[in-house]
Amino acid sequence: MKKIVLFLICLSGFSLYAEDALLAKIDALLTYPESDFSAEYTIIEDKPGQGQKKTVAIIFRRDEVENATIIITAPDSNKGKGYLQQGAVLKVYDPVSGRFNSTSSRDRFENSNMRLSDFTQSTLRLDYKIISSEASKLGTMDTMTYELEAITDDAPYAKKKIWVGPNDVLLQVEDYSNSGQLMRTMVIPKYKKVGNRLVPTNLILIEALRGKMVDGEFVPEKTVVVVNKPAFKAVPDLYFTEAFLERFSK
Amino acid sequence: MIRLLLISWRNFIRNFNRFRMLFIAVVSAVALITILLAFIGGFTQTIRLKASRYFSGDVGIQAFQRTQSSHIPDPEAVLKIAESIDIPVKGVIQRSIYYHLNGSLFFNGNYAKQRRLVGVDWERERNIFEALSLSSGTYPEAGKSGQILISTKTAERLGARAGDILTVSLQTAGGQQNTERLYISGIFEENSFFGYASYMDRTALNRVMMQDESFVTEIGVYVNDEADQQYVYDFLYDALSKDHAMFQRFYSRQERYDALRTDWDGIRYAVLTLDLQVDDISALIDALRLISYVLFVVFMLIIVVGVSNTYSIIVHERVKEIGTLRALGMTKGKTVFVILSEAFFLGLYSVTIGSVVGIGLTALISAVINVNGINVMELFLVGGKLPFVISFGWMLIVAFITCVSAVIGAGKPAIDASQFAPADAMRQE
Repeated sequence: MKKIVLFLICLSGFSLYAEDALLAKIDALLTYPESDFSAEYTIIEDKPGQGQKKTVAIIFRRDEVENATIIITAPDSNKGKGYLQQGAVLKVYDPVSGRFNSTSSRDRFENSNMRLSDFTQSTLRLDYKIISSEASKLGTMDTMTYELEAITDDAPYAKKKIWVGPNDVLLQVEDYSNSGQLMRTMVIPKYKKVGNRLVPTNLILIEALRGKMVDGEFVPEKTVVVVNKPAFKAVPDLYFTEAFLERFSK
Repeated sequence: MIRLLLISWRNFIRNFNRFRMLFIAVVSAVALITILLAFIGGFTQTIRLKASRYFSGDVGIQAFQRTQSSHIPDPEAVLKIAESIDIPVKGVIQRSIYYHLNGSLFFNGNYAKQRRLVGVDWERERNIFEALSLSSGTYPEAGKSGQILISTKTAERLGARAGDILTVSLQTAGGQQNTERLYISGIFEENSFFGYASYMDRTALNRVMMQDESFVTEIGVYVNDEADQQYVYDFLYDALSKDHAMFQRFYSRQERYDALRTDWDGIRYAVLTLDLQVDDISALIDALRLISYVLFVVFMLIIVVGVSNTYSIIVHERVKEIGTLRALGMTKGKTVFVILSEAFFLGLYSVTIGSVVGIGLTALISAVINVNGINVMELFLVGGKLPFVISFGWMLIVAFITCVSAVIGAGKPAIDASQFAPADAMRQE
């Protein structure tokens, strides 16, 4: 009997370790602590009945110290607007007033379906624990589905469901409210190999509550993100300062 | 005296044609003032009603910890204090309110951000909410938790109707999104910024906010009369001060804002009057009142000057008649009294007719004119209509001042008339 209990304890310990390792692996795929990262994001919002809106932003990340800078380059009306993350502090810069204001990683990026946290490093292992898993299919691809539950208040959503493909590549994420309402689905259909790393170059974000009824059917708001020119090259320290955002806007 | 009054009344009736133009002018002015006062009264009452519903009563109690939104840790004790007020009040309520701007309602893909999501105890606030003008649906049933009242503005934005089920979404104190599906019990008429508030059962809102069922952010008192507000405020402030750490008494919203930015330890209580909550709107109402007072004064001056001029002419035209009365023994004083009484009757008659015309026109304007869609007016409307209040007190004041103005205006011509020598007066052609 004792042996069985010991075996079960070992098994659950191993299982916890394996789950923790999986989340860490997914985080590692989307986090780049060993090098600076830069890319150009083209964000196309599709709001049913309102047409499309395109925003282009350049992002610089230094995940090692949790620094990130986002600068909007299009449309002209928002050109020069920027976001600066320095550790836990996140600020938004308005080039018209020339002022920085505090914001939160949970806030929407330019009122789109993207959260500011979607631009920065992944922290699944720190914020969530796996509560269940099962084999599944995503399209024709064999995947594993994991249900996650938040373990810290820093997690933007209380529950998540993730689809993980071969080589532990994250393919889809569903974000849920505390009460279990689906809030958003993020699909990552495309990765690109840059150096020895995989970088997601295409993301599709589908809102569960925002959209429009068209011919009796719910058409959700959708945002397609295309990541161009991803690079793991050193970025000057200046790029992670307020002065850079001020200078760039001029 | 009565005989003199009868003579005055007879003279007034017989000479009415001479007063006709003046009568029309005074009637118009009284009607105009009645309309203005009725609508300003209606606006003031409507604003107060809407604001008291929005801000948790006429006097509210909040409790703050540094950098946090209001949360009353001992609602039972505070409620007991509020219920011990020694004058009759309309109601004592407790609410939980989600103040942050990211509270939203979703329906069929449409969404509407709300300035406030308000959790109420339906039974406690029944008499307050039953006064709401519902465009559709009904007042939520007490005991049924999953119901919500939304405004016409919100319903229009969502494309939702009474009976539909919407999703309310907000960020919990922990920072995560939470949602709840609620049944739209009713849609109340409101298109101003007060329409950016939705009302649901307190336990349902607490559940979405991931708070205890007993969570309360504000305790409020609805007073029976605006004049009771200060008494209730003083009572609550003094009673709370005995056992609770208090902020100072606030006399403006800015003072409250500044106080909340200071440093303090533990929990501090604040008592707020509705006047303080709506000081911007109060300023607008005060401006409207001031305009009506200025118009009132101008109108009185017109009456005084009009009556004075008219009576100068009338006295001149009636010099023979006055001379005859004087020759028959009417003293100077009685002559003055008779003419002043005529002016008083003119004032009284004009006020009576003017008030009736004013009230009729007010009701007609309110019923016929639809000012829905005019942004600046939305704040004052009830069911898309201009609200009005006919104040008996105000009408008495208007009547009194009009009659007095008429008497003052007739003063000099009356004295002049009394100075006629009867023989000279009777000789005039």
